[in-house]
Amino acid sequence: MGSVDNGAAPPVLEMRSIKKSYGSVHALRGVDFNLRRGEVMALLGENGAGKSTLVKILAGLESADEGTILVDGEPTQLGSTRRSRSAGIAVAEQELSVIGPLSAAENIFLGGVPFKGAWTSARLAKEARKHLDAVGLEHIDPRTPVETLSVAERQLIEIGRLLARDAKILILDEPTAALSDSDIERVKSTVLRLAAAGHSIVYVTHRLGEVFEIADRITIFRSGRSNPPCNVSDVTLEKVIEKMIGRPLEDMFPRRAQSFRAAILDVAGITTRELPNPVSMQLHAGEIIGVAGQLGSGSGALVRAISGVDVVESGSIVIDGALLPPAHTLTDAIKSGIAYCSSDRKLDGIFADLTVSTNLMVPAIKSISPNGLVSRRRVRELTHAIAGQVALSPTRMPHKTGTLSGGNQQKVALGKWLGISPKVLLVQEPTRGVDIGARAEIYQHLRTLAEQGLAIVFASSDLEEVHGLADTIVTMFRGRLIRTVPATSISTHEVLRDITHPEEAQI
Amino acid sequence: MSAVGTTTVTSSDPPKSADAPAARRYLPLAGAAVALATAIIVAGLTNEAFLTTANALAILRSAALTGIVALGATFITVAGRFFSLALGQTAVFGGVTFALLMSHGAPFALAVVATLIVTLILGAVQGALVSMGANPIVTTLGAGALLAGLAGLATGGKNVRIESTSVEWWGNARPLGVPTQTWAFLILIVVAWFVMSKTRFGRETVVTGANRATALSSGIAVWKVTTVVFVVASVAAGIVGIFGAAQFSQARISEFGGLDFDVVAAILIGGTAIQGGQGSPTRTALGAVFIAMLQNYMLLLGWSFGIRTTIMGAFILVVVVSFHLVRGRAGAK
Repeated sequence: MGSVDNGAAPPVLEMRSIKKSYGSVHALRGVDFNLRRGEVMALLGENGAGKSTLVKILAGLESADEGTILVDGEPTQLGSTRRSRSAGIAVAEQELSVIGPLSAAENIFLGGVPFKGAWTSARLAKEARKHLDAVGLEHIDPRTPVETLSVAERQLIEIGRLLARDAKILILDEPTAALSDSDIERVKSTVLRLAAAGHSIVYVTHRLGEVFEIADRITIFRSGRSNPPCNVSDVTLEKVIEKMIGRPLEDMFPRRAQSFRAAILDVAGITTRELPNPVSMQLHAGEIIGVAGQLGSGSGALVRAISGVDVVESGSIVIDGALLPPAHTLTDAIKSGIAYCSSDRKLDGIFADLTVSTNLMVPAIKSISPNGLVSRRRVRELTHAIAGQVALSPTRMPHKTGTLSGGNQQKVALGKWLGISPKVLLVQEPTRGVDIGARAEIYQHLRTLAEQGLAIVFASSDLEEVHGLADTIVTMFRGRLIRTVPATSISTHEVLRDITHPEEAQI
Repeated sequence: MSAVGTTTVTSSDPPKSADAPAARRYLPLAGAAVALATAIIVAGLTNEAFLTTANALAILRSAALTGIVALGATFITVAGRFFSLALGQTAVFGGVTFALLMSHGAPFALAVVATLIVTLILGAVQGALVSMGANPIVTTLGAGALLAGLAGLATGGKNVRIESTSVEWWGNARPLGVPTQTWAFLILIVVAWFVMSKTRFGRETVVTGANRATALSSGIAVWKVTTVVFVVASVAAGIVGIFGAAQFSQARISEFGGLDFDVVAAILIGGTAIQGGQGSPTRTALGAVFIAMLQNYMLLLGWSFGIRTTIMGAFILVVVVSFHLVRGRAGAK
């Protein structure tokens, strides 16, 4: 943990009774927030609790309606990105904003170069060096195009950019959202180093595990209000979750299946470009298989291969007694009852600009439009039935899906498939960008669907999720299936070892 | 906060009244209608020749040909494929095909059907290319140049005369006092509205334009939608080509010079989102009428070509930019 300067000096940043409304929506209803020099302050809360609004106000993208902001004890007006920058505040956005074809150095200095005169790549590289070193990218040549780097490295470059702006207050908005476990370590150690070097860091995240490892204090937002900050050492994980969701946390994960039904999916020795070693697995109706693996381990590739997104080069897949054609397409898979939700719901999971009801009807469009004409009655019946199954309020039907919370968007992305009554549901990262309360709900829905006879395969980089939700765990490492085991006979620790250093594991 | 079911975790979505999305859906149409009405009143008050039945019919007639093509082209835009820049040339090619068939003694009905099939194939080829990943603007630009060239070759650069009373009737008759082109326009507005809002194909067009990747992963045959929207636009251009040839009893390869521009303008003024996923043939039709009206009004005032074109361009710029700003303000992406 970073050093805690116990409040003798004024906080670097203090925000008092900040209010902000968007029309009739009260995003912030009077929150207090403070940050001390050299500390890591975790900012927690469900989606819509007001974290992003606070971040936007600090970034100068929005102005607060009411309240005071003190930087180093001085009342400060933010309200524009320029003023926010000159107050020493810098924000790393949730979505990566590095520019692929540009070099690491050019990305570091996107906001402007620190020298006058000619822009030579040698000069730029020299200036970038210290910032790259500061974020743990000593091994990266500043002239490397960013698109050749890993996601974690790009994330670190994003943080390096904040340092190049000479910021003392760094706001990291979910820096690890897109990273796998081992990459997260690099980001975390960088954050600790920066804090030790005197930077004050606001760390916004959904991953609570990280908070206990790196944060000094925690501020929890809920429904636009703030809880007083507390020291990490004084609270437990359960306490934090309860404060975030405003109710006691029962079990996060639903009960596992008691028994499975008939075998429904038989994957025999399939390979794809990303899965050079043949992979086999069997799936039963009512069973949930969790595929654990880091980015690039093949866990996602396995799911994409079955879905028909990636081309299966050899091997066979039999679903419910019927053989899928070789190199089957997504359409073949859908026709034989395999539904697939990718990990990037905004990219290809939902239609953000269309209504919830349109989203829910799309996969089943043929069944609601006999003769080619869309029947309003059938649309209503279908979408309301689905909404009931995934606990979406029917009043949301006419709303644009993009305006819903992450959890509700995920319900739409999953729920739309119920219209075609699939036999197998494939899900990549079922709860990415979903806050913790809604997560438990998604797990419950997946379990309920399994109990109704659906077979589910999900790939996830969140070990707790794999271990807690799955009946059967498949572990993968570097394009190879390590083992398939019942979840009850393996510990999270063993799963972690499988997906990081399987050769040391006792198989 | 908004109401949620008992099993739902407290949700943080912004609350909205249930009728807000419906209101937003009809707002653009209502806005276009109000703008049109205002323009009619202003024009009527400032020029006595404007508000006459004869002039209204003239406007509708000149709006009809642009409008029919624009109705078809709206499907391309809504499907997220921007525009076709081959529609003017498709109309010329259709007109030439029709006239050549007629001049070689083909019966009227056969000539019409054959012309529409030819334009259907032209659209299908372009659509198939686009669905294989070709850029729609580049593809149609190339196809348009090719078609113009072929039409020139087929006619030797000369106009093709048609000697037929039925063709003359179709080009110039006024059943119930309304020109045939206008009738066709009105009927096709209803057809296009119906197809867009009531049929499976219409919904597929909208969802493909809204997010092609999601449409693909949801099992929508995106290539089919893409091909069909180009077919729709191309056949619409074919219909207009036939009307054009019928009106003068000859096909001219110099015809339909500014058609592509006017079509794009009608679609944009109708408020169809250029990035796709949203739009309405009905509003496109209003856009086409609006343009025809503005042109007509400026003609009545005796303004020169330069002034008319300048004003037209400025007008489109203002309308399209303000649409964009208004939409941005409403928070929609």
